[in-house]
Order: sequence, then structure tokens, then C-alpha cells
Amino acid sequence: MSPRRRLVPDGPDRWRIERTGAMRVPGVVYASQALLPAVAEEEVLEQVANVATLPGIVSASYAMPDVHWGYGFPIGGVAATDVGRGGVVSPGGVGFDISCGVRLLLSPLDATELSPHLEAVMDELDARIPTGLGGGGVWPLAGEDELIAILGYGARQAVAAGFGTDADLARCDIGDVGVDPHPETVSDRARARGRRQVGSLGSGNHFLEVQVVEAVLDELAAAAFGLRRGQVCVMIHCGSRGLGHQICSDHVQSMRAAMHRFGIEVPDPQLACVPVDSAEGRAYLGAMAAAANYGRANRQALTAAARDAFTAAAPTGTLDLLYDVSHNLASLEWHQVGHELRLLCVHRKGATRALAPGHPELPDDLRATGQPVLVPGSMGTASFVLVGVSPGGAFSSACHGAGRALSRHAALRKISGTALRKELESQGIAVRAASARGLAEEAPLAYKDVDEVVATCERAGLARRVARLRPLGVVKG
Amino acid sequence: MATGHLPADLSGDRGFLLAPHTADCILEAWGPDRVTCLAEAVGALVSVFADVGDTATTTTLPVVLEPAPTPDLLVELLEEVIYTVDVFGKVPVHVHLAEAEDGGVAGDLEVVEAAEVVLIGSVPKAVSWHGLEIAEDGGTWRCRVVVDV
Repeated sequence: MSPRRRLVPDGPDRWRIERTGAMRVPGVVYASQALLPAVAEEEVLEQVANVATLPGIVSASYAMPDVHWGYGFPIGGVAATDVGRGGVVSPGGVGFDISCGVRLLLSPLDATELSPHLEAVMDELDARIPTGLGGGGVWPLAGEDELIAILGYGARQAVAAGFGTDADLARCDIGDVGVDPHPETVSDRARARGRRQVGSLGSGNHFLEVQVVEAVLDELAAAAFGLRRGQVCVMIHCGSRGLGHQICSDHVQSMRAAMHRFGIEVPDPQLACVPVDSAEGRAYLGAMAAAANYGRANRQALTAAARDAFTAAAPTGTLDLLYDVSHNLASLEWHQVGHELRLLCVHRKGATRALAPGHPELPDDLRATGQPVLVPGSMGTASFVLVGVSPGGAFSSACHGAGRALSRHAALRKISGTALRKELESQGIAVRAASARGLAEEAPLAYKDVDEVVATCERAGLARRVARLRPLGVVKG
Repeated sequence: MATGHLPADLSGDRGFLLAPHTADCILEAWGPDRVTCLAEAVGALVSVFADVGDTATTTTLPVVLEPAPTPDLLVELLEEVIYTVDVFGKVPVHVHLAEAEDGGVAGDLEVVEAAEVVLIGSVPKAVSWHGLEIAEDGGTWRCRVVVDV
């Protein structure tokens, strides 16, 4: 039976795919009725079911409301495996862009104060933020030792090199993967790809946006986060660039060769995996943690560039970091499974960790409120700040974006980059893009309705909405 | 020796196209023999992000693929192109490949500086094994591969 026909109601905006065949656990899909047609595509549900076959998986193979067709894992998938019971780690469950993530910077300015300076700020950002192909990064490395230090220390190394302040580090998710980084396990090819890209956006769906807080939906949480209506923010969305992609490719290849030694078979080669507690598993996690550091250092360097742009063209360059999240990551976390506290390897591929109020890993000044969950929307629509809730769901996870509904091809058939630029500019959104086609590929019409995605998260008990952000200007990779 | 020319000639016995994938891109390529199919796949990969136009090539880079199953050769070749773009900032314009006596594939890439091409889309960064196919069917070699952009 096809997965779609197996989808049965399982609670508010929650659906279940019952176990069949090699599935070790059921699938759980979070979707409202409005999102269901986009979420319940055969390819997506097949991938949710395939993930449910992984050795050691516990509870369920989860799909967030923004889930869409990936390769191996769906994008928007969450899967946790039991480390002590042969649970596996799969590089495909993290994705190529390890630690692809989002950070939000808060300006003391209101949109009305920025308005006369917006075009100049966008020009400064356009000049200072490397995008697209080549061009290097804002942080030219002194040598190999500096790259190794970035892989070992991440944003801390960026701050030590002058790209930010100690205050940034308190909001930067340091140590959240539960695994020590091992730069020595990062291949020469991966390091070569990473050497000239520290502090660059890249391309694809990555962007830097100047935004305004359009609506506050939870006054208490917003106050704790330092958010107020009308406030200017900067959102940065990018990852670990070529280095992270190479690490994923390297380890998928080595695990494809090693799987048979562990008697593991997977329904899709991109799900290649080995036990967490194996030489290959530890090697991947050490390299992945190093790539996560690279991703955070990358966003930290871009943060410094954004501050410089504001300093040059706006009344103030102050941009305080609210939080930095990674939405492509595996982390070792303790969770209650049945009556036992178990160490799990939680894969979030296109999903964001969403820690509930009181979690010990939260910074002191956010612990009573919960973790900020940053959800970038599509250009021209909106982005959201959510907050983790108790008890949460899917091992404390929530969505990571609007989620694509149309392929890049379909988007290109519906609108040109030039037309989209005009449309965005007619809405008062200043656009700086590396390529017109790249812009059109990321058109808002290619994405699901982000308002519906985050409302679904809230109804399903994954996270709660705090603020809605509207773009004022976009630098598109 | 098979040569891949960009852009592809869709009317001939060799060529490529890009098929829809929700988040990324599917390359499909074909040719009368294995190395032509591989060369066309490189053309498909480049067409995702670059309009190379009539850019004159200035440099040739060797490609040597050790003997391996054909799907592995396809992945390795495309990863080599991605690496060349990422690390050396060079974009292949022509591809020359031939079967090597040892069962591998050898040849070269005629490349131009990335600054010389028109960037028209997101740059592929990795090659996925999901749904990867390459095989000979009725005298034509065909491949299908998802790339991450």
C-alpha cells in the first residue's frame, strides 16, 4: 500500500504512517489540512517510511510541517536512534550542508528610523557580503592553522579574530551537538573547499535579510528575547559551504563501504549509516562537529560584516545577536524513551531544535522562556521567531522554514528573476541578488505558506509563535 | 574520445536535460557510449549555474578516474567538477573523456575562470546517491542523478 493511503489521523495536525515491511517504528507527519496536499506527496512519505527502517530508531520517523522531498531523508525530517542499542548515525540524516542555520541580529532602530538609510545600507551589505560563485569570504585565513582553529573552536575563534564580541557567544549554541569536534578527521579535500569561504553566503536558498518586526504574538517571550513591534532585525541564513558538503560526501562514501560489516541494509543509498558507537560513526560525528563549528564561524564573520555595513550607512551599527540555530545537524542528547532516560543520536535534517523552558542547556537569561526557534520564510513573505514549549514533540524539534512546494524548475516557469525583483520592489523590499535565475528559483510562490507552517507547529505542540518578521531588504546568495 | 560540448544538442544522439526536484536538481544525460554519457552529465551540471557562451578556454585540467562501478565513476566525475569550481574557481566548458585500458576513464576538462562565465543559477555543491542511475539501454547510455544546490 502506498504511504499516502496509510496516512491516518493521530491528533491535532498530526498523522501516522503505520509500520509495514522493514519499518521499525511508525512515521509521524505534522500537517494541517491545508498543508496536507503538499506534505503528503508519495516521494516525501516514502522517504519518511524509509527513515523508519534505520537500525536503532526509536519512537517514530518524524516529518515537520515544512517537510519536502529530499534525498534519502526528507527535508524536514527528525529521527533519533538509541546509541546504547546499536543506533546508527547517517550523514544523509544531517544533510550535505552541515550546520546550515539561521541567526537573528536585533537593531535598536525602528523601521521608520532606518527607512531614509535603507538603500545605502543595502548597497553596503551588497558590497560587503560575498555571494554566489567565487569571491572568497570576509575572513581571509592566515593559514592552515587558522582553519584548524575554526574547526576546533567555531564562533569562539571568529570572536578571537575580531569578528564579534563575547556577548555573541552566549547566544550561539556552543557545544550543542554533544560531540567533540575532531578537525584532524576532516579530509584534505574538505579543508581545501573551506579555506577561502569563511564569511560567505554561497547560493541556493541562502540569504541575508534586513527585516522589521511586523507583529508580536507573545508579549512575554518577545520581551525576554528583546523583540518589539517596528524593530529592525537582520537574519542570516547559510551553512558550512563546500567544507560541510565534502564531509558529508566523504562519509556517505565510507559508510556505503562499511555498512555490510555491521549487517546493515538501507532502502536508499543516501541513507548509508553505521552504528554511532563504531570507528566510522565516531569519525563522522567528529568531522560533523568540526563542520558545525565552521558553519557558526561563517555566520559570525558575516555578522561582523553586517555590523560594518550598518555602521557605515545607518544611524547605528549595533546589532545584538538574539540566537543562532543549526537546522542540519545530528546531536547526542538524553531523552526519556518509555520509562528510561536514553542517550539518543537525534538527526534533524531541515528541522530546528526547540528546547522547552527550563532546559539546562539554555543561556541563563533565556532559561525561563525557552529557546528561540528561528524560522526563515521565503523572500517577500515573512519569517518567524518561535519559542520551544513543554513537553514539545519529536525530541524537542520544530520546523526550519516555509518548505518548498515547487521545484526550482517550476518556479522558473512561473516567474522571471526580473519580474520577481520588480514585484518585491513594489512591496518596498530592496533586492540585491547574485543572479536573476537564482532569485526566481527562490520566489515566494515556490514555497508553502509559512504562516500555516508555523501555526501548525503551534497547534501540534512543537513550538509557539512569538513574532512575525517582514523583509525590508534581501541580499540573495 | 568523447567530447561534451555546452550547451547540449537535444536533437542528437547525445545530450542532457534538467528535471524538476523540489529542493535540488535532477540531471539527466545520454550518449551512444559510456564516456559520452559521462561527458554530457558534466555539461548538465555546469548548465545548472553557468552560461559559458562562447568563452575561450585557457586551461586544460586532467581527469583520471580509477576503475570502479559506473555509478561510482559518475559520482566521482561530478564531484571532481564541483571541487574544481569550488577550490580553483574554474568552470569546465568542454569535456574530453575516453575509456582507459584499465577499465577506468581518463581525459581532460577545458576550463575558464569562473569570473568569465555568466552566473545563471545556484551552484551545485554535492552529488547524491538517491535515485542515481546509469546504464546502457538499447544502444544508448543514460544517467540520472540528483545534485544538491
